[in-house]
Amino acid sequence: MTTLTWGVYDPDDKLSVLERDMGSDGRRDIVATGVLWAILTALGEWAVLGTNMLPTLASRQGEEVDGAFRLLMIYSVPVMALVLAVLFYSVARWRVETPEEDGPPIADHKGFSRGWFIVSSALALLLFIHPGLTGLLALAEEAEAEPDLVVELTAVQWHWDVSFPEHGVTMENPPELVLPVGATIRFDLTSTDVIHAFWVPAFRLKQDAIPGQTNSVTITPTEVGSYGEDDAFRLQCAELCGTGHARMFLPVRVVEQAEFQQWLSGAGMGPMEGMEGMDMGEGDDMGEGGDGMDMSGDGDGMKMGDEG
Amino acid sequence: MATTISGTGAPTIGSRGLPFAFRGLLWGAVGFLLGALLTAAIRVLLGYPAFALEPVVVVGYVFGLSGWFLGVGVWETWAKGWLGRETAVYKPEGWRRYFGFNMDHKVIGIQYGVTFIALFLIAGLLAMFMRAELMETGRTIFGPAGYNRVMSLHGLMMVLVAVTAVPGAFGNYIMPLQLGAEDMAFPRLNALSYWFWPPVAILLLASQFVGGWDTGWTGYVPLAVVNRPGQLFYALAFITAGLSSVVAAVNFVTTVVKMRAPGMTWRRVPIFTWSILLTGILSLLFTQAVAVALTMTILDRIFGGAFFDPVMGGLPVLYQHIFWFYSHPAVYVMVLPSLGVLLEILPPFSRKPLFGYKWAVGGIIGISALSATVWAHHMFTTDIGLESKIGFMLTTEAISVPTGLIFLSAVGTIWRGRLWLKTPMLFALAIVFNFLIGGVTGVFLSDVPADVTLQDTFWVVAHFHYTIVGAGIFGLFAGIYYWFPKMTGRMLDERLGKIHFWMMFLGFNLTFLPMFWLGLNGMNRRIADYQPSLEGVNTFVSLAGFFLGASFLFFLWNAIVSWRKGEPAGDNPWGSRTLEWQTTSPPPELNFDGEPEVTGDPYGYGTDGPAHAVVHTETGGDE
Amino acid sequence: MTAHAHAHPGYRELHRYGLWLFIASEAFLFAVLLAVRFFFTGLEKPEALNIPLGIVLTVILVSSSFTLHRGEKAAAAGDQAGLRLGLLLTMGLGVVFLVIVGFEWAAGFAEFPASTPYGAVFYLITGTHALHLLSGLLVLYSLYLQDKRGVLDEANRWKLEAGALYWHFIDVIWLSVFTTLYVL
Ligand SMILES: [Cu+2]
Ligand SMILES: [Cu+2]
Repeated sequence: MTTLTWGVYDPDDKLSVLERDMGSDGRRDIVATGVLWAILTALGEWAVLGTNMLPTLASRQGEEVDGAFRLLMIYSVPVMALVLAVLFYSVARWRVETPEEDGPPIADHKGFSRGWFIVSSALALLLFIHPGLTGLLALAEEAEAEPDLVVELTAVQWHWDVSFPEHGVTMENPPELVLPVGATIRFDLTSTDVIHAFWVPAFRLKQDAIPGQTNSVTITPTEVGSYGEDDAFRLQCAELCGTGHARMFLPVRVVEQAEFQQWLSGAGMGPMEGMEGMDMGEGDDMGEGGDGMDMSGDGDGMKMGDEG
Repeated sequence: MATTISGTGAPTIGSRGLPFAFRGLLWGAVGFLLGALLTAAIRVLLGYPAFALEPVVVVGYVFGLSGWFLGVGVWETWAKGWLGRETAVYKPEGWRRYFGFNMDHKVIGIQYGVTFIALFLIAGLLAMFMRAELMETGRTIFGPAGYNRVMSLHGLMMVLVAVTAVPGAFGNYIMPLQLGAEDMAFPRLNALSYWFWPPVAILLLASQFVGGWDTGWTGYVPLAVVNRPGQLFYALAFITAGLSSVVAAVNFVTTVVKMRAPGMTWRRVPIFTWSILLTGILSLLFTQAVAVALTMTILDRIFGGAFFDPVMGGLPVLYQHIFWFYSHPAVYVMVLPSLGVLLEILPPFSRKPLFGYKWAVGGIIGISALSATVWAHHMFTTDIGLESKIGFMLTTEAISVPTGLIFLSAVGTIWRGRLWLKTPMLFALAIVFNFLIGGVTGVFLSDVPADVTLQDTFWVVAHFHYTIVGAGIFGLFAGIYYWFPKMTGRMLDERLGKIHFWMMFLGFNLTFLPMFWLGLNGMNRRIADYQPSLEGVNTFVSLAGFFLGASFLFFLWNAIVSWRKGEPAGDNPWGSRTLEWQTTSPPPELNFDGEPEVTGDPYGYGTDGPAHAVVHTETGGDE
Repeated sequence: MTAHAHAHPGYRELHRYGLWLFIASEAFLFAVLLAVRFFFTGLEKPEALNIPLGIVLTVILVSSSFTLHRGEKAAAAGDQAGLRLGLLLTMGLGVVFLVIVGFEWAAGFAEFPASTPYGAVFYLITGTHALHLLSGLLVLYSLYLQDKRGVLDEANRWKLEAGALYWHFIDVIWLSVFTTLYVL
């Protein structure tokens, strides 16, 4: 390969060769990039506001989460659009086959750099305050609310044990978790073995179930619904807990108060009916934590959603 | 004088016979047996049964590691000196120079580069298996137990690749050249840091014979205490890799601080070298924390100890604090060097000075400083308390400011440049694109209200792949396409390079962009199976993933063919100004045919001011 | 091959800098370990902790720093016999330290076993320190051997400085370990 020699940009000649050829003085580039930025921002905001990327929302606390998420999306769009506008515009405008000369020696631009720094700092602070701090405090306040119902959830490799201590009802590895709509429910989470996590996608909030301690999460379901119709209604273990982690979920059904009472009293009467029929991920290759060496165990119980 | 080994007249070894690496394996095996027997003997004396897998492996490994090092060349080149005897230098010619305790930073850079490309490809292959399992719901190829093992191995290997590949390959090969130094500050430590890696690879392989492990790369307790013995190998491998990082970091930092050529003031230090300096400081300090966390795991496994078992008063969450105290800085160790590569490539391919050099350096320093204060943002769901949540949310969101300065420098550099879209430049521009997405989606995770639903879902998976692959690994390849001519004297093929780039760029985005949606819609991470409603998107992601995987075949083909018969590169094919280009490709043994002196800005493109550096040859009278 | 007259710092300066970096890294290791102690048990510690023995250990290590310093001084004055005596005394004190720690462990297992949080932390920290001390002993022994072979001359005097610096560092670490485990 021949050694290339590079033309030196002439600072006194305000228009370099390329710019003379293309008839621009640089200001036009700024305007054009600004226009591109505005277009990209408008398109982005249109997409963000016009589409719903989130699954069913069925809890009051989740509104805080979704609000924060949507706001962050709205803020992200112009930030991303700015960088992309410069990137796309520059590549389209100033790409060359082989550079015959150097570009203008702009090593810095005090105003622009400082402005960038100040604006990005202000933006970070703004995001910290809202939706960050405001949302966090709102959620903290929600967590303090006096519960109408307490549900104790004990995570066990790899299922959930549920009890309603106020009603004296305890269920080992139940087929589903039924909850009353509109009630403020405090879930007390713990684990008997490793760390698991509580997550019902429709309720949004997530909290770890850690052995040796009890963490609480408070949720007020706002919509009836069930796993059979919508898989956002499931209590999914969200912290890697070993072989059965993927299938460690408990279908959730949110029902009207009366129906909940009925279900609870039915459950409290005696051994739950029909529970053995549910295979909650205790299939062949999930039975033993210590035995993962067998990569070829049969796993016909792996199909999800059969239960629904 | 006598700052480096190469100047001394020590006898040379290693030019005939079996390569030293094989002797290392042999001595390592002997060491392992000695350690194992010693453990058995002590156990019998204390009244326990002679054999227990994990104690035997731990002690055996410590002895085996010592044997490995002595065998691979430490004995002749170093240890004899501790006994007051004469040492030798490992300096064979040809292919042999890569298979022993070679102290030349250029050899070590290539050892690192080739080793880590190989590890990257293997770990990438594991990802292909993972995506095959996730093609459909239900069991596809290996079911949950196998999936968790493969996922864990993929995770740890890729983390090690991301932490090490760029500093290992280019920090070693290019950084001393950029400084105008004739080698690293401590050539022996440099070799030592590399030769830690084969034992790491052996441990990861061996772990698979005792069932592997299934905690992912994070090894959270109590799972990591109660599961199968592969977890022990995980911990030993991770600690060994950490030792290598510390050793390498001492070397990097000393080299940058003390080995700069005359005239290289801090304002003339190339940006890549800055990134290596800060990376070094982070690894130097924080790697120790992960060693503590993993040592506690090992002790709990062997002695049934009280660190993490709550029944005995242990604290499972403490592990996460210590682990992330290291591992959050570590994610910047994965990304900073690649951001350095990005900002190193943009000026010559835009034919403009690096925009806002001071801001960019400030950004790198700011990211590093803040990285030590954000670890608990991984723990917003563990109940760390309201005050902690507020504090860690603040520090984490603050990181977006110095990160923004990197973007400032990048967009300012390409603005009004002469954009020369060769393969290295394409990779660099792709980093800007990818890292933008990675950075912005990270803000969602720093925001506690949003994080409580995104935590531990595919949103996180997508986010960190956008940063660690989209910036880190793209930076690795940007660096390869940029510096390959310097390291081998030959150009990579431009057409194959562009095919690789476009396949990788498209494949990458098509694979990881849909994962954000998956995470939002209920796909938690580290699962072998998912809800049927997510099947369509998952199938698409898998197909895109295979396409991404296939792109590396073009790279591999390009690298192998071009290394042997690529077009000769000449000294400076890109017309760059930094010092590594002011010498031959590849450089001579002591890097420069003379004495480099730094006289100006490393990125003075477009000016006719003084060159960045001149090399005073001994015969030349230019002084 | 001609040697270039690179204006790099001297061997000693370079190595001193590297060693201090290594020490900073090690200091971080112990800082994390000591922080772990407070995480587990706050400021509580078992009654059975043998504080007088801890003081004896501290006195031994401080004296070992002193003897090593004497050895260094002797070496600087060209007194090889004095250096060797200093090294031997220091190593002796180091070995005595390790033996006492061994006895302390044996006694401690009965009072605060490794299955209690304080015990686990105690053995983790003192064990890590003991391993460092053992490595320091190996360094001193290596210096002793090199001196005996007559290769620890003026040009190699840095090795002595490095070994001594590392040893003093391990002593300082012990002081912080002692403060954390026995005093607070
Ligand atoms: Cu789980
Ligand atoms: Cu982090």
